[in-house]
Amino acid sequence: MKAAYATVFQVRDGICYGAFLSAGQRVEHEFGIEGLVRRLGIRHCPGGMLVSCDRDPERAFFFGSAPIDGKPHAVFELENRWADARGKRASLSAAAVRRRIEMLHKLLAPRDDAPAKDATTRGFWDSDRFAITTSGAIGVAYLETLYLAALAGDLAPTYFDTGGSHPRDALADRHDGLSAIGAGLGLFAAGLIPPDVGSRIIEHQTKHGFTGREPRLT
Amino acid sequence: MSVTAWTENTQCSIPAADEPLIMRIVLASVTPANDLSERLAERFALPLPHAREWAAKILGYPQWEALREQCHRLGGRLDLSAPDSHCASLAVRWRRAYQAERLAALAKIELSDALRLIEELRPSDGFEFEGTFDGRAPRRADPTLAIDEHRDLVAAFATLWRIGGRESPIDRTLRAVLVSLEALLIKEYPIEQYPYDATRAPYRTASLIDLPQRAPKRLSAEKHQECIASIATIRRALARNWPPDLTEAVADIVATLGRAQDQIEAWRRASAARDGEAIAWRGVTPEEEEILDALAAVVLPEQVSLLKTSGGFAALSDDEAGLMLAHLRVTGVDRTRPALRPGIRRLEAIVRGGERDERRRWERKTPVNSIWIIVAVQEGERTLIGKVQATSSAEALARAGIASDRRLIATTATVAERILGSSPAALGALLTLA
Repeated sequence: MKAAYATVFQVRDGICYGAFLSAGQRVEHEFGIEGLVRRLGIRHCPGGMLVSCDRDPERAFFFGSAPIDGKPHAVFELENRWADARGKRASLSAAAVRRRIEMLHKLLAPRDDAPAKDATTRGFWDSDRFAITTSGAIGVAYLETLYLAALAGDLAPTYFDTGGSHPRDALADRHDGLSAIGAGLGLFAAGLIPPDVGSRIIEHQTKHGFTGREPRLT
Repeated sequence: MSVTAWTENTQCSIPAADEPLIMRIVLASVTPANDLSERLAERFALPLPHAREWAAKILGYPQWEALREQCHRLGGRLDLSAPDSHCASLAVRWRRAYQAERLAALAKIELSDALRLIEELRPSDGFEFEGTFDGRAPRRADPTLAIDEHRDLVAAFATLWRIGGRESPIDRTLRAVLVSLEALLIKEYPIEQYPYDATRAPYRTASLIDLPQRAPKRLSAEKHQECIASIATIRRALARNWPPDLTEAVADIVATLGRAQDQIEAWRRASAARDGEAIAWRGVTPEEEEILDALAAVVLPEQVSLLKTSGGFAALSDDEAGLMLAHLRVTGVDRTRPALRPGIRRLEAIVRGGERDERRRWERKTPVNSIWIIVAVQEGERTLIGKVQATSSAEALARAGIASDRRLIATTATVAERILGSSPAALGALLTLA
């Protein structure tokens, strides 16, 4: 995984409904996010949005919080192979969460953009997985909202590749309802999305050609 | 005169690589490259930015920006180049040959003139070098084995492995030999002097992880001879006057190779007693072999190799088995023929197993009905509306059938409680809307 240039929580009316992980200096995603989408197991919802669906989300996602230097920190990630080896577990110790956050922060390389290094919310992603770390009580609450949405099978991903444009070109204000969806990975809590943003997310997913499926009940 | 011809005249040629060899000089700072740019600018009367592009190309980069970026990479640098004065003469010859070819192309001059100029300019010399990443002194001796000789070694080794690798103990010994041979190459062609990828190419192409074809359990006299000949080739290649720092490593390789030979001899002795018998295949019982051969006679030609592996039916995927069955159906092969029936049953079992696994995967991804809390939101104000049973938040909002001028959200009880601050009592008292 590589650091995103900027990771921005999407908030309206004080409720976090998503996070946007932009492309970054070293993030190369020419092959899309098929691996990530496969792990999320996306499916169609009424209205056309594609959301995650996994009956064992506790194994698929990890969320942990722990104080570091007296400040609350949290990490939320779509886990990788080593998580499968560990199997399902309710929680990790605070020390293990701290170690995980530190390990993710080590993914920041000197070549990464300054905003990625200085931000309190940092995103890391590649074609197969993602991780977000944040600090501060508000950030932790935002991140937990997304994790709980993922546990409920309600996480809607979006993806746009850079298409040759510089990642920073798309850094117009994303704080308010995705006024500009740029190159990068979006993760949204489908049930919390404002209607105007929801339609843009569907458009976004359609443009990228996500292929969801109807559940087959046998 | 080409670079290859020039280097051949100097005893050891640049290895025959599939892609053009790039002698990239990795610098800790951009200063030596700037110095070179200035010298080039002066010598060829070039503007400095133009000279910088030339300098970058001569030092093995596509453009100046790439060189600058490489220099600005910090921390844990394992790949810094040593200046020519710290390098073996072969490395210097490779570098100069590469640089001369680049300069000849850029300045549109004869290669011989370019060579003379490069000798004067010395692009990859005269900069500071703090030492190798592991603290050893740069190796000044030329390699004993040329890259092409390593390539020959790998070819001989591949033959040996193809046969000997069927026996696990021999396979383990041979892997140890291969690792030691590559380590020998790495010692002779250290990263601070030679291009990393090009010099290791022979060992990277030595991958032998293809699906093993059906292999006999016993070692025939002919295959035994092939193994012994390969071992002799490797031994001959290693029989050199090695410098003292490599003597021990080479002796270890020869000893391990001797162990592999002993194991091969033992295998042959065990096999010799059964030379007169029919061939017995590894991993496939004689009964299974009959069934597989009967199927191989009726499936598509491109599917035959799938039935001839040492894994037998166990190596077939459900897709492959399904395609074979489809082909048999389409071609109207008599599926009740006694010779075919057991094979078809095995294929059907593989397909059934695949379907079962697929069903399990689908079930895991099938949404469950859960309770969603519908909340009306307006700035800081949140009003609980009711609860709905649905398989997704979107379905919950649709089923609730509420129209409101406020923003409606659907969320789980946990989010309502922990994030929106609703009390459990309030949640418990909510009406079910649909």
